[in-house]
Amino acid sequence: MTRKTFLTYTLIVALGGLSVSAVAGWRRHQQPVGQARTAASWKHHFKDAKELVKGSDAVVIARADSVAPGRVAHSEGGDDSLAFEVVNFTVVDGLKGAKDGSTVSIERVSGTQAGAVAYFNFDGGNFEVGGTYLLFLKQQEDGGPYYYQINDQGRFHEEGGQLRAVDPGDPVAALFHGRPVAEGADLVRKNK
Amino acid sequence: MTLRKAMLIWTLVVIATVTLGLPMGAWAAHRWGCWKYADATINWYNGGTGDYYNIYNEEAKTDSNAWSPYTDIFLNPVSASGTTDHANAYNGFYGSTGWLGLAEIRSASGCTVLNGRARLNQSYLDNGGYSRTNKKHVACQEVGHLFGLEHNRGETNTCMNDTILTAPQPNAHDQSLINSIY
Repeated sequence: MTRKTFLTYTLIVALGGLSVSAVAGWRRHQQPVGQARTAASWKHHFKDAKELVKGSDAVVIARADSVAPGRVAHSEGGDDSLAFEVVNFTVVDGLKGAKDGSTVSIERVSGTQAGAVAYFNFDGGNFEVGGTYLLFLKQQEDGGPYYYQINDQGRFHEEGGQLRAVDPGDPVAALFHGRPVAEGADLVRKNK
Repeated sequence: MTLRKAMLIWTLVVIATVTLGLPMGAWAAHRWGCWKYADATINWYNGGTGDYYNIYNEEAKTDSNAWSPYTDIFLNPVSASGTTDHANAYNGFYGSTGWLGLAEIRSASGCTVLNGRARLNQSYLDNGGYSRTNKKHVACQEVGHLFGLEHNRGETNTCMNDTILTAPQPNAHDQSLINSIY
């Protein structure tokens, strides 16, 4: 093999490898099915589990029992509306601020807006009735009767006995993600 | 050179180039899914009220580093909200929700955004704890989402960083990413 032939083939191989990996990265962003259609600028962000627990008014492992339609808010200009829903949970394990067996209700943006499906999945999406969650909650600051999910770091769905984060890539959520529920509860207790 | 030696070198080259290519994938990581408008000219409805109208305008069009002049995007002001090729911006007292702002792809065709909505939550932003710069940061971020950008927690000079509220403008990375999309 001549040096020129070798260098030519090497260049082809290099460009091929570079293209394959770049295309693989790009294609991850070309899948509309199931991807997030909403994004939020959250009021709270936490740097570690201790902050997350401390910043929450209630931390519970709870079962979603029911979902009910809630209020409708309007923009100041009046030409936009935003519907909410209330999700009721039974507390299975009250880790902070709520007792076992009590009911906590969370208000969130509704998956139904003006009769049509809406994709408010920035917080993890619609709660699954019958599903069990580890939730970090905040009492509504305006004196409202409900809690809200503190942010996308503060919600974990129990699947196959393990906790699943909304955003497993978040370093705080990652502390809980993939752990058995009992271990997640222990982690909360250790950080109280 | 023997064929065996050449094969060995090529194998090393493939490994090196694939590794080098990963940052290119990571560069795309600040894309928000595959969302984008049909083209760079987008109907812009500013449904803001009071100073929020000014804030949206500044972040979208009039600041020197606002989305429209700073990137290839051209925002075409319209007088009413729309659902075909529109970015619609609002503010309201949405209550104790946990969020300061929200970006929503209300309707789309495949990856093409038809009706995007940005909302600013005055229930928090007007409670005295947030400066005008903070409000501008949130407005810039929500509008930036609609154009196809994800949060970027790796840089502190962009409004797409959702862990800070003090950088009310896109940065050079946002600019190049937007320009590559459109």
